[in-house]
Amino acid sequence: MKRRFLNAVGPVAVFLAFIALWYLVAYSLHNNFSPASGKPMIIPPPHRLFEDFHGPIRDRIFTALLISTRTAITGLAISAIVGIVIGVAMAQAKWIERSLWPHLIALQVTPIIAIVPLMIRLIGANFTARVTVTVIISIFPIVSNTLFGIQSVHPSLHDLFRLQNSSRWVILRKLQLPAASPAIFTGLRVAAGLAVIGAIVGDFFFTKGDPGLGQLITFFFLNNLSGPMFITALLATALGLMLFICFGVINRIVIGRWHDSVAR
Amino acid sequence: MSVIFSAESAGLMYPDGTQALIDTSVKVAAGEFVSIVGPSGCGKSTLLRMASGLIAQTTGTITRTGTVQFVFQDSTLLPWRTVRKNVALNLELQKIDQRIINERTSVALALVGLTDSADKLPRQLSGGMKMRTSLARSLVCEPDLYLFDEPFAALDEFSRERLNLELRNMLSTRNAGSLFVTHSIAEAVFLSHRVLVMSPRPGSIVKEFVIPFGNDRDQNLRYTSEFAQVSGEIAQTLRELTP
Repeated sequence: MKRRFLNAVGPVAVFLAFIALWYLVAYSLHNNFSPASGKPMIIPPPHRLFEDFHGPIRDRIFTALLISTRTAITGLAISAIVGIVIGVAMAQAKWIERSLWPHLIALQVTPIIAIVPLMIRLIGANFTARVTVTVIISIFPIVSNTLFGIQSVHPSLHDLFRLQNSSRWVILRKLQLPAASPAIFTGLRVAAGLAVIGAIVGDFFFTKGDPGLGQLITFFFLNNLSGPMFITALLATALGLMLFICFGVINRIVIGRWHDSVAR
Repeated sequence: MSVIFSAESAGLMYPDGTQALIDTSVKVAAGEFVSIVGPSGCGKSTLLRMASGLIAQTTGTITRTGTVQFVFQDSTLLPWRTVRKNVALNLELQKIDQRIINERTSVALALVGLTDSADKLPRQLSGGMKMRTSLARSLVCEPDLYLFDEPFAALDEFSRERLNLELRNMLSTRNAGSLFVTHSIAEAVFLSHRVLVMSPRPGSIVKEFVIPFGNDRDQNLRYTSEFAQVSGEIAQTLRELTP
């Protein structure tokens, strides 16, 4: 009973503390409010967030949200397909794993900021380049979790299938992929957050074309529109959360019945 | 009785030079139940894997006639499949007609007393029920040779004794041979026609005990003086082998 109460109250209490801290910082910052207009200059208090959220500003934010959502979802979908295929291929043959693993690690540890200008030069400042950046940043957890999931299948289960002379395809379809699915879903949930980061961080460099959330944050920052800037940042967070929750729901539907991490 | 499995002077040396088995000879006839006991690490499970064809011997010959089913130490159930679908798995992998799969699965489930739990998932089963499901998965294939790798090792004593009896009853109507690896001397004596004792690594069969009991056995057998005497002799042999 006490645990259930704490489980319910805990997140709300932390959220209220965050809002309180927000107010504290907003009202204790020196020069936060313009002496002439009284408008917040650096951090708007929560109740004044939406003061400038109307007309063209609102339209621009929604357009940017649509662009970033499209980029993140397209990138994530490509990462999921390509990542699972690469992970499966690496799990089938040691030489494939040895050939690809160092390059994937190198890709993972290269800062995204170093990759974006290269992508713009190679592909241009277009949707394809934005998606490519998103794929590069989000593919690694999917590959590594697919590989880990397949390699973690109990050897006796492999023996069970080998004793029936099952083909590699049958073993993959009936054993390896279902057994690896909890790990793959964990990878997808991590990748969902990274895809949004990729779509937004990459966007800071794309000065041409319709702006996504990243470009818009820069625009609002340069024009001292702190309210819309905060709303844009919060929408970016909401986008990441939405994708994370989506995969959580799919995870529950696909493996919830049988896997201990979900089934309770 | 026709011999369905035979190992003649079989040996196994791993690539790193470790000799796991040496000069091992075993025969199992149709309808015969043979158990192997021996110290930990002597190569009992390795012999079973060689018998199944999962690994190849490096010396000697191994001959199998007919089909083989392996029952592992853990139940090796697929957690996303129901009990019924787990039992049907081997038949499904053999691409047998679905109607026949359904019929044989139902019979096997009834035989192990799991008809009412057919739609449950493995996580909803007790250890004993999981092992019964695993047994049913092998029974449903009606093989010529069963290979059991300590299938009841993880169970409590009561469940183990009960499953020993159930296994005997299940196999009594079949003409299949069985090779059974166990650490329990009582289990080996209760189940078997013959008990083979293996030496420490490199393992080989050093002694054979013919069990002097008929096929009609029940739990009371365990408390007879003959049972205690045979078990004691096997235990004494094992003690002499263990350094």
